[in-house]
Amino acid sequence: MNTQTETQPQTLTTTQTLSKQKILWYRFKQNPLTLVGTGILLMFIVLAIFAPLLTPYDPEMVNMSERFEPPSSAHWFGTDEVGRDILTRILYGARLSLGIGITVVVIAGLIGSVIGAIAGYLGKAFGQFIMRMMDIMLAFPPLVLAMALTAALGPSLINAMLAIVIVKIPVYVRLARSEALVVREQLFVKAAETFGLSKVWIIARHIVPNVISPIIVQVTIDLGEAILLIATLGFLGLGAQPPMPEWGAMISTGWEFFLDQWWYPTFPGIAIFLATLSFNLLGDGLRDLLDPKSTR
Amino acid sequence: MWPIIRNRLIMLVFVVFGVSFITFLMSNVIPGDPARMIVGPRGDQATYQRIREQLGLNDPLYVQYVDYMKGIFTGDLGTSIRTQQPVLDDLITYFPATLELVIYAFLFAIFFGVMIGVITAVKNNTKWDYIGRFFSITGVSLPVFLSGLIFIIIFYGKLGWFPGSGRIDLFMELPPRITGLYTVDSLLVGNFEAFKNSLWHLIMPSIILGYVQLSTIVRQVRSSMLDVLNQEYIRTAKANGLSEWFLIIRYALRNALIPVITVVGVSFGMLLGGAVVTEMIFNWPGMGKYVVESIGFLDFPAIMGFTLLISVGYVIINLIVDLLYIVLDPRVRE
Amino acid sequence: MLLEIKELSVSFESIYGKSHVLDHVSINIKKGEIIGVVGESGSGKSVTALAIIRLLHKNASIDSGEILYENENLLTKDEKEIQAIRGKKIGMVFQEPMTALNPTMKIGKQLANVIRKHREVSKKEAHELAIETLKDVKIKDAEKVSEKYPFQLSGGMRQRVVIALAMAAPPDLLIADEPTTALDVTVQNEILKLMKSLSEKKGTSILFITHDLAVVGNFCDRVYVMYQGKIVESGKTADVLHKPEHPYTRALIESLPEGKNPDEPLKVIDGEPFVLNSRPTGCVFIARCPLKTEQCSNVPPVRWRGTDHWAACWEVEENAGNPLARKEI
Repeated sequence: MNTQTETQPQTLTTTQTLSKQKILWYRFKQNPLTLVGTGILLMFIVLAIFAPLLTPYDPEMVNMSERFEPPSSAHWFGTDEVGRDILTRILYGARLSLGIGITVVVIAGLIGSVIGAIAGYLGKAFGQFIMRMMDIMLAFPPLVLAMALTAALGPSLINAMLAIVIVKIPVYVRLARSEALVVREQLFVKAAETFGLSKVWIIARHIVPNVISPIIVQVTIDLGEAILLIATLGFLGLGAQPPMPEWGAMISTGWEFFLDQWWYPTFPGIAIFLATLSFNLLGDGLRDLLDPKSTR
Repeated sequence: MWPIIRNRLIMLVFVVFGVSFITFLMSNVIPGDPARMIVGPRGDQATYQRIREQLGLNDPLYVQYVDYMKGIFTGDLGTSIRTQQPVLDDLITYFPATLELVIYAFLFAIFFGVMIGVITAVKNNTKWDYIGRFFSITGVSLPVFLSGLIFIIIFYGKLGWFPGSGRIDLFMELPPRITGLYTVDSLLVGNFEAFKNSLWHLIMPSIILGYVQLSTIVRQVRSSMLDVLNQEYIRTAKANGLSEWFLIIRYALRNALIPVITVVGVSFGMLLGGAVVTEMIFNWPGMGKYVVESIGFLDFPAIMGFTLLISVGYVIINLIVDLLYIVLDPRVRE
Repeated sequence: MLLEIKELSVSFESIYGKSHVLDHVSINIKKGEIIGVVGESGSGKSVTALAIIRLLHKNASIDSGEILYENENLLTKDEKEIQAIRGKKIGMVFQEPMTALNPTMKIGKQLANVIRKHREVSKKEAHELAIETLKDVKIKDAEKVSEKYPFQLSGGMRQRVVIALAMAAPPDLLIADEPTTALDVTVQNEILKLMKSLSEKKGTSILFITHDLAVVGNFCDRVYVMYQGKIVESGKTADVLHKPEHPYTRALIESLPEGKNPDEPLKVIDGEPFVLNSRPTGCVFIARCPLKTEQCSNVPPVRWRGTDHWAACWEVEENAGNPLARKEI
């Protein structure tokens, strides 16, 4: 017994073990920032799902007679240079940004974890080779790589997504591999091997499912970054193309009108900020949960 | 110590080959034809072919790659399609501007990152903890193009406190190029006007750029600091009567900073690569702006030169991180 | 009286609810005395020690009681006042010498920092005093050792350094929380001898906390036996060891390996300690006691066996009940 644990009450005896979920939930609730993040995120998800029900306007319909209307009861966030309702465009933009963000990161996470799990499980030479490849990928500045890829492939939303997927993969490979190296030494994997089960089966049924929880945390953290990357590429004209209601692209065009129509770039800006913030707060909280060090 | 340096140097060679190979593949496999870009859509076929010949685009791929690699080791990174200058010269011209911006952004991020990290750890789970963490997370949640433009509108447009673009005022006498860093060069020749002026130009972009890295540093410092503050030697020292802040600064911080170095090293690398948007917003004549303009032109020699330089920078930073470990932790020295 | 702990109760707040870890604990230490507190891990010994120098974990709260140091209540002092007492008046040695020293600071520097905190001396003088202090704890080559980092020293050496740190002032009271548990037996004895000689030389009282009743025998003047946050028996060491009264103390002594036939199996106390948030209302030992009767579900009285030997148990007969003697304890 060391003195450190002795100052803790002797509570972890058999009669009162709480369920793991309950403890996690207790610690989750302790951080108000995580709750704020979760709240904002849920709000965005609801808004994105019900966007068509929440607004009478069409996000891409031009209505020149109502251009540059300041915020009013008819247009809460005003209208843009061709008379589209900015609130409507932001709501539909939430669908785009969240949808793309989640798609991109989940795909990168899946591909990355499978490669990582294979590299970790098969070990030695092949694993080393993969890791050196990933080191090289990681040596590229992500934004520059994404920009170069989209520029070369031709500016479009799909190409921007593809570029972000490629940029994000190495992180997951690394993470999944280090987890897989641990899992493969465990008894149930050894047991499966002695039963003569195929490598593919072991990777699919044992390795991948067991490396998934740190991957989920990483996914949450990366969602914020992915949304920022999409917006940045949109802002630079390399991502979503007009008239798509993408937040970054809206700011890009709206910025010219800032001095006279302040609402145009301001509201999409707030939307990007809040969406990214919610993922970052949530990711930060989840990381704390899995890293007992930081919540003592 | 020497094995560490040796391993890093091997890594360096590896990365140079790898990065150049990938950029090279990218420039050749993906659609997009630089010769076509130069000639323009209406250029005639003969000129087009001549330019392809000049750029070596008609040679087989491996010949092109071998030529390129030969160049790298003789200091020839090819010629930029856009500027028609040797890429190496271009990089030498633009690199110091980026380096200077990154150094100041880095200082900002480290100073506030360590400070907020320590405070949030010491005041764990109080309102100061939450405020500090919220402030730092805001940094990664604001797109640089947004925060940069907001800063320009407020502090340049409305208040006129800081200049909104460039490294130095146009009418200002430029300091001679010694290091290429204006603030250093101007001090070296004793030109305080130029020093003040360039420092003034640096403030907004370096805050914007550094703010992005703040949360990474805060998170690491906080976590590491919490870890150290729970160590027994801190309790022993407290029981010996040392005061709380003496302990935090002299005992805890040093030990807490050791694992932070890695993250700090990575974040310096991120700043080098992440300066792109900041440079565009603030019209900063650095590598980032250079590479964005090159991307628009599909100017692959320039893009390759840039990525190569950044990747080499990454490896060198990692080497410095390793050496810092040796300095700070007596246990590693043995 | 140097230190009087009076009716101290401490509880912890956690996800599991509130747990009472100290239940009206009273301990007295006279000047120059060496006092033992014996109990299993989790009995609240360390909590008592940490409460004295006010280094309890954040989730701990002191529910009642007083800790009087030279007739001043330590519990009502603010952080600044208590800092002036820590190290200077009351020193503390912890169990784990491997982690008790700052890993990246030289030994001499760590000592000098503490010395400068307690005495008005220059850096140079502090360094010289640091070397003196190292010599006091019988470290050979004190100059050389002062230039070393903790990881370059053995466990026994480190514990000497930790003692040197705690004795740097020197304090009037040294609290030693299992200082020898992590060390091997030969080193244990050296450390105990060292502490005893320091106590005699500097007139320092020692509050010695241990789970090992055997160590207490030739080291402590008086001993308190603690079970689950409560003192169950107290008296002169010889009395408690040779004429134990409380069933728990007896069980502890019976489980010692000393003087037994090696073939004979060691006795183990039946049952398990209760969990702290389900404290019984009566005697704390009730669940494991071989002698328990119905009245044991009521709080047991203090029964005196001699002028300063008592046990809290219904089954102990009061003998030579000297009411005057009680007050002096």
